[in-house]
Amino acid sequence: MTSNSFGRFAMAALLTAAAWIAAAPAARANPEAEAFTQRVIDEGISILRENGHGGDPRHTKFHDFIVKYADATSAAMFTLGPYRRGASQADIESFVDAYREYEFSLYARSLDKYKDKALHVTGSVDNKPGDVTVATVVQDDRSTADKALRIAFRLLGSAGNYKFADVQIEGAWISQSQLEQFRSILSRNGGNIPDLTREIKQQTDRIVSGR
Amino acid sequence: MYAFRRVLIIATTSTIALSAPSARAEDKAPAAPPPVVTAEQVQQQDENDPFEGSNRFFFGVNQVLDEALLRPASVVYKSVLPEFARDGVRNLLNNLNSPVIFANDLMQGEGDRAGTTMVRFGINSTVGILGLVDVAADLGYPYHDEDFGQTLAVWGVNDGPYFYFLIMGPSSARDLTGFVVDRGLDPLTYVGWGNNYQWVPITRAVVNVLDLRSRNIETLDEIERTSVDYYASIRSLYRQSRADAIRNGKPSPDLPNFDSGGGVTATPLNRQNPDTQ
Repeated sequence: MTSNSFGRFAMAALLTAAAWIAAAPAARANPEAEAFTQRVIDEGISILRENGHGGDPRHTKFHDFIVKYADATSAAMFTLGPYRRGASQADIESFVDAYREYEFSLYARSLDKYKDKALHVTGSVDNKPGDVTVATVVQDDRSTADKALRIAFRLLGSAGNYKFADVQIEGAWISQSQLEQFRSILSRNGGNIPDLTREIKQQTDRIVSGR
Repeated sequence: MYAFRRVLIIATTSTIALSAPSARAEDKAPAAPPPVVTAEQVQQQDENDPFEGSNRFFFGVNQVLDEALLRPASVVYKSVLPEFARDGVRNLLNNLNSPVIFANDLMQGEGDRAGTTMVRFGINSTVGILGLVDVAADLGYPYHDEDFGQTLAVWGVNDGPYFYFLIMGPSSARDLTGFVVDRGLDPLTYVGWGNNYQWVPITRAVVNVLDLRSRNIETLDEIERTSVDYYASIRSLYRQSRADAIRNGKPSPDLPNFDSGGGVTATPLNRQNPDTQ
């Protein structure tokens, strides 16, 4: 084989390899994240199924469970949008604290509805390193496959150190909805984050009290 | 309108950048300040709700009408009809919509889904007693919905500005166009023309609204109870669910961008047809 033909062969081999790599799907499944998600879901549902009422150890246990596994800070900062620029650290910290309690009240309320149903992990997508979306379905005995509720969880972190950052229900991300709501309020109040924090706290109180 | 405004913002910032004097070592001129895009501009660009004032007004009116009429009626409907009967009504309504779904499956180039729709219509209209029983789903032909608004999205048409209409509820320029075209594609539209059968399409529309409302009583109550801005919440959920429908439920490459400095999504949802990716 002459040097010219070897060169052409090597180039063809390189181009073929490059094309194969480029054609490989960018998103892959993440079995560790899927196993983690199923385990956490099962743990959360078992807490909710314990006999008890709000305000008792079950409530505290579930609160600790949410704090342990949820990354409220990432979602909170996202929902502030561009209004977080120039905001004081104290205002942001107050907002994040209020957001955390708001999220807990939402999760506690929503997950309580599913405690008698089964949530099964159906797959996952690696969005980028440290960012995974895990898909689940909620089914009860009467629902068929096409009536199963699709819920996806967005995890940030790595194997052994994941946190739940967002939830998607039937294609709609909760954080995106919150972003639009909070931005709407901030645009009307001149970007006043403490005012937004107060509104979130009031809404949390309403949710908790059942009003 | 949205596309023009976005071009204007980009053009303005580009003009500022291009008009900055080129720096030469001997000039030592200070660099031009970066163009300022305010939070409000970013918000207007992302939300595309130029008629928010009137939209919020009609949203408020709809809330009053819903509380006074539609919600109570749907509660009665739900309590009077047992679940199997309501499922039968929904199956029948879905079956009646098959010609519209089939046409849009074809226009989107979804041959397999068009075939499923055709098989479903044939089975359910006969064995399924005019569609009251969804026999086809049990045989492995699940229901799916399509409309011309989704078809326009697949063809590359942007959704345009957001609207909230009295009675109709949330929509967009694209979906409104799709709604009109679908009425033209629907054979039942022509049943009542020029004769005494206008009550057929009207009854179907009323029952459809009632049935849908009855299936979403708790969901909408929950969204309202947990929202700090119910209008903005409905707007966001409408757009995201439409984008999900256009993708036929496939995962979207657009994710809320938790890394961005200002929290703004890098690729805003529902813009420039990420719906179809």
